[in-house]
Order: sequence, then C-alpha cells, then structure tokens
Amino acid sequence: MIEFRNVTKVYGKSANPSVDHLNLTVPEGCVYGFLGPNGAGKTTTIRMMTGALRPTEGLITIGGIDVVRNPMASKRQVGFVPDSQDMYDKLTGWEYLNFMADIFGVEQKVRKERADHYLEILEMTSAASNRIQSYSRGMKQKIAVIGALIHAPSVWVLDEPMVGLDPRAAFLLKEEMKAQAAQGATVFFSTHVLEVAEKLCDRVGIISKGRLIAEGTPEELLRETGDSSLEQVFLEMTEADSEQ
Amino acid sequence: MKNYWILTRLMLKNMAASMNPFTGIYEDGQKKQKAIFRMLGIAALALFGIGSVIYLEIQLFNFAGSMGEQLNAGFKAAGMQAQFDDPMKLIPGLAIMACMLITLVMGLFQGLSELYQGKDAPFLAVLPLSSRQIYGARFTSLYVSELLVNLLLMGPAFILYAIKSGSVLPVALTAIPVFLLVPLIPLAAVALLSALLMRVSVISKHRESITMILSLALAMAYSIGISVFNGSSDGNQSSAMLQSIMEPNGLVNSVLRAFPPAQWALRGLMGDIPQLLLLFGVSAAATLLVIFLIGPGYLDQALSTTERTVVAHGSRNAGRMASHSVLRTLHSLEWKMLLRTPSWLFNGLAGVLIFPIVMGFGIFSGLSRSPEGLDYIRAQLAGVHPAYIIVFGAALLGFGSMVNPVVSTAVSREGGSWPFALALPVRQADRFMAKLLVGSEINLLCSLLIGIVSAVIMGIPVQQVAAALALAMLVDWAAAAGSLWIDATHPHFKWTNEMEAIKKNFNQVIGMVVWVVCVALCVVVGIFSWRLGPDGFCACVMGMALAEALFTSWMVFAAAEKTAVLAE
Repeated sequence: MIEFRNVTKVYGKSANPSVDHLNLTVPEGCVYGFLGPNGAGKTTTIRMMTGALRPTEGLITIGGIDVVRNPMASKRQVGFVPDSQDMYDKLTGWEYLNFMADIFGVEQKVRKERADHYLEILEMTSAASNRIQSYSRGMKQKIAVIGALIHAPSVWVLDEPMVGLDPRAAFLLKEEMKAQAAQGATVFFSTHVLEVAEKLCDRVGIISKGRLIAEGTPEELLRETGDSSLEQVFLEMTEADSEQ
Repeated sequence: MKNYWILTRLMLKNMAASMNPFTGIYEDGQKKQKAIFRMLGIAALALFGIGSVIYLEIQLFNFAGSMGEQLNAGFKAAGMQAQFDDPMKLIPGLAIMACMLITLVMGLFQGLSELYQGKDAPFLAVLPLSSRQIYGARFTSLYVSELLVNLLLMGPAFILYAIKSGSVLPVALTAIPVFLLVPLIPLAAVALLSALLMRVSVISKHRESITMILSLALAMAYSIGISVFNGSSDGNQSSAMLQSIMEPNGLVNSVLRAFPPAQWALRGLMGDIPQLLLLFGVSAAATLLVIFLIGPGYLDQALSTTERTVVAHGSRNAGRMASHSVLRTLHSLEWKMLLRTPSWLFNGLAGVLIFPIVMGFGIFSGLSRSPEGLDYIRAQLAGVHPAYIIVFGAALLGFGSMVNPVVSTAVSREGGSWPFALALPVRQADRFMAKLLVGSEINLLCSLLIGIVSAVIMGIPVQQVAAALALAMLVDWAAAAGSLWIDATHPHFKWTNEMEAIKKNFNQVIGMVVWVVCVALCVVVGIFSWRLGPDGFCACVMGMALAEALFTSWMVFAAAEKTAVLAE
C-alpha cells in the first residue's frame, strides 16, 4: 500500500509548490493511474515515492514504512521503471537483470527463473545477450520492466510506461500490470494515454499544478462529471483548474 | 565552405559552454548569493590551479636554464666539449617538445574520442553537409582544444624566453605563428593514425579494447623510436646515457632529432624565417592532406561506430546469472561502464597508463644501450638513504593519478541515470566506495608499472618500492576521495556526449588541483620535518598522507547520505 499524507514539494525558494498537500492512498492489488498535464507534478511525486527526492513536508509510506526515515527498507519493496531511457546501456540485457537481482538480493535460482519467464513473456529472450545501447526505445522499456520485476516487488511504480511502445508491447505490458495487481501488488503509474487509464486502472488520480483535483474509480469520475469518457473528464477538470 | 564555418562555430561554442565552469550555475534553482559564492570559489580554484601550473613551469624552465649552464661548465672542466650552444633555448625547446609529445601521445586518445565517438554523427549525417565539411569542423575543434592546452605550456615559456633574451618584439612576432603551427603536424599524424585504428579495429566486435591496445602499442613504438633515432648519433655511450637521463637538453635534442618539425619550430622562434616557412608549408600540406584524404569517407566510418549492434560475450555468458554482494555488483558495474564507453576508456584508463608505459619503454631502451650509465645511476641510488627513496619515489609513483579523471567525474558520469540509481536500495556509501575503488585500482596499476620499472631497471630494493607504493596510494586515495566529494556535491549531469562528462568536465580540473594540494601539504610537512633526519622525515610525511586520506574519506562518506537524494 502507498500512502501520501499532506505531501508538499517546493523546489528551492520557488513560490509555487510542485506538489501541494497531496493526500492519497493506493491499496494493495490496485492498478492506479496518475494523470496530469505536462509539469503537473507527476514525476516529482514519483521521485519522492521512490526516494530520489525528499518532500518539503508531509509523510509518504510504502507498505507502512516511511520513505524518508527508512529509505532502504522502503526502496526494497519497490520496482521502479523510470521515464527516461538513461539506464546502464553499456550492459547487456542479462547483465542488467543480474545487476538488479544482486542489488535486491534475489536468490540465484529464483532470479534465473524469473528472468527467463519475463524475457519470454515480453519477447526479449533473443535480445538479452546484446548491449542495451543497441535496443530500440520499446526494448529498453521492456528490459527496465523486467529489471523492476526481478525481485517480485510489492509495489510497482512506472513513470510514463507506454511512451515509445508498439501496440503489441503496450498490450503485453498492460497484461503484466493486471497480473501483478491480481497477485496482490500495488501498481502505480503515470500516463498521458487516457484510454489506457480508463480501461486498465482500478482507480485514477488527476493532478494539476501540484494539487490532486480528482480521485476515484473511472466509473465514479464519469458519474460525478456526467462525461462519457475519461478524456473529457481530464480536459474539463484541468482546464477549469488552469482558469482558476 | 560556408557550412564548414557554421558547423565549426557551433562546435566551438558547444566546447566553450561545456568547459565553462559557470555554465548552469543558476539552473539549480539555488539562491543568488550562494551561486555568486560558488562562482567566486570556482574562479579562485581555477586561478590557483592555473597559477600553480605556470609557477611550476617558470621554476622548471629557470632550473633547466641554470642546469644547462652548470653542465656546460662541468663538461668543460672534464675536458669535454660543451653540449649546449645556448642554454636559453632549453626553455622554449622544452615547451615545444612537451606540446608536440602531448599532442602526439595524448592527442591520439582525444582524437579517437572527438572524431569517432561523438553521438551527434547520426544527426549531422541528415544535414546538408559533406563528409569533408564535418571532418574539417571536427578537426578544427580538436585543433582549438590542443591550442588551449599548448597555451598553458608555450605561453609562459615563450614570454620567459622573450624577457630573458632581451628581444621581446622579434620573439613576439615569431612566437605567434610558431604557437599556431606547433600542434598541426602532430595532429595530422594523430588524425591519420586514428583513421587507421578505426579501420583495423572494425574487424572485431571488441572494437574499443582493440583500439585502446593498438594506441598504447603506438605510443610504445614512438618512445622506442625516439631512443633509436637518438642512439645512432653519439659515439660515447656512457655520456649519451647520462645526457638522456640527467640533462634536460639531452632529452630535448633527442626529441628534436626524432621529430624535425620541433626543430623547425624552435629555429623559427629564434628568428630563422626559412625554417618558419618550412614549418608553415609542411603543416598546411599535412592538414590539407589529412582533410582531403580522410574527409570523404569519414562520415561512413563515424556512423559505423554508432550504428553497430553490440553483441557482448556472445553465447558464452548468455543467461548466466550469478549472485554477488552489493559492493561487488556496484564495483563491477563501474568497471563495465568505464571499459565499454570508448571516451571514458581512452581518457580514464589508457590516458593514465600511457605515462608509465612511455616512461618505462623510454628509459629501458635508453639504458639498454648504455650499461655503464646504468651502473652509475644504481651506484648513485645505492648511496641514498632508503627513507628518501621511499618519499621521493612515492611522488613519482603517484603522479599518474593526477591525470586520472575516473574518480573526479564518477558521479557526473551517471548523467540521466542518477534518479534511477537513487531509487535503488543501495547505501550511498557503498556506491561511493565502489567508485573510489575503481579509481584507486587504476592508480595502483599505473603506480605498479612505474614501481616495476624502478625496481627492475634502477635496482631499487623491492621493500623500498613497496613502501613508496603504499605512501603513493595513501596520497592518491586522499586526492581521489577529495575529488569525489567535490563531484558528488557539485555534479554535472547535463552532458550531451560522453567526452563532455569526463574530459571537458571542470570537476576533472578541480580533481587535479586537489591532488596538487594533497601533495603540497605533504611537501610542507616534509620541509618542517627535514631536520628530524631521514626516518623522522619519512614518518612525518607518511603521517600527513594518512591524515589526509582519513580526512577526505570522512568528508566523502559524511556527504554520502546528503547526496542520496537529488540536489535541488
């Protein structure tokens, strides 16, 4: 479970907080979509959750563990897929997976089974011997996904995971997200693709200018606004927030 | 031609921005006062660093001049002919020699990185630019960066010579063209060798390793070449040996003989206009030849390095997964990233190892022709107290680490992967320890090579070499930890190519200054403890080195947890 309690992030002496008193609870077994326009605070929220940034105030817990006070224990529960393609691209796919397994202390036999399993599901087995620098954007995304899942995390965090994926790869990734949630993991991802969020997510949150402006199941949001699609909900809400 | 100038201007602007220590100082969102304070700090550090180098050069040139005069007197007293017709020539001669050697040896690594490892080749390939224009612009950019390095060496030397010779204006008139022409011929040779190396190494999937080994082999061949050229010119082997080891002018002459353009440059500086014109003609011809010879096929070659699908280890390691400790995993990651990134490999490993290799081969081939001289040096060293050999030997053994940019840019080189790295459950102290270990292992390798050369050729007892090595490693560790602390607290993540991350990173220069400061502190302690006798002197220097190592280690590990989140 992921919990945000009154979390605020202000960069330097900036007058406008990037994240403003965010309160959010993502339960176990839930696929949570985090939506928002560019610069809304999605990546800042994710970076605070993964321990790469410290909140200015408030409390973030993962599985009941405070991210700031006990970063190592909290990070051990998380599998993170970053938005950028800047990863250790001089390693081969196999070396990268072994690196991630070493860092998370995955047993030798288990890591091999999991790596083989996910490489096959995501159709990466033949490419795993090549260096990551030779991969396409989608392949890099897939190897990052496998690296994040190698230690069977209880919380899976993905920043813009659908960017650059072809339809088949996107489908495979969505299936895996559902499968992880079905096994009891919490899946938290940011996205711009509203159709994906509508179909895939158990719950969604819309953030604008650092504030959470809407939160609930897609059905709840549609019912509350009377719109026919999540896209309409998103456009109306973010536009109204911009006007304010 | 217009496109060539546009591209050249762009590349030079990019180079200036990446070398500018003040770039991005406000982008971090910090307070203006803090930024100004940081700017002043960097400016003071830069002035201190450049000032120290110029001061050391002036001292060295003065020492060389007076040594030449003393040796002349010595030769005359021994009934021999004076070897130096004009000891003043030593000053610019040494500078020209050093610049040409640096361009020839170190320029090879820089040439390979700048010309063939740029990530912008696919971008440039789609622009309406000819391959020759792109190559010409890259060559010019490389030439300008060599000029900047040469300015540090030739500037003070030429000014000093002009003042001491009493003819400021005539020297100034010849010094400017000589300064501009000196790097061209070595650079043309470097460009030619780089192109050849890239053609040869393309046959292997381990291209970077092959290129590095071949370039080290070329440097060795060059150092042997110098002594071969020198060897045939002197009948008296003993005095030739002594000259090549003990006298700066001997070294100058040997290089000048091996590389005539250096001789033309020196004579041109002295006012010999035909020699200056000869230097100009050959430099222009060599540059044009290289650009017209390599230029047309350059882009294809550069693209082949970026397009190649990298299949590492083939089927041998495929699917093999073994578990290791976190520190070992991080250590292994650091080595892999270094060995598999050509710019980092050439500048971080080959560029450091070249010093002991050239030194070792140069001395070995020089001494092998003069056993009497070797006996003389061994006899001289046998009379020196072991404590002095340990301390002064350590200064020699540890020198390679000054030019080692591996630790001083270790955090900056993480670039865009840093936020991801911070999300992993890894203690920052472990991460820093892995970086320190890799840098220190390279330093150790460099020092070991020099140590072996010293022990085998000079006949220094192994125990003394081992003690000197331990002292050198202590100072190097202190400098490495100090420079890592600076890079960890002020990293430069916004680089666009790998060369910018390591060689054009100002933290690398600061790292050199940190090494100089660590050595200087030991020198100060050495001066104050001199009267305690050899053992007391040695113990005090070792104590200082240990204190430095402990202090900088504490600094870097204390800073570790503060840097475990992104800087704002």
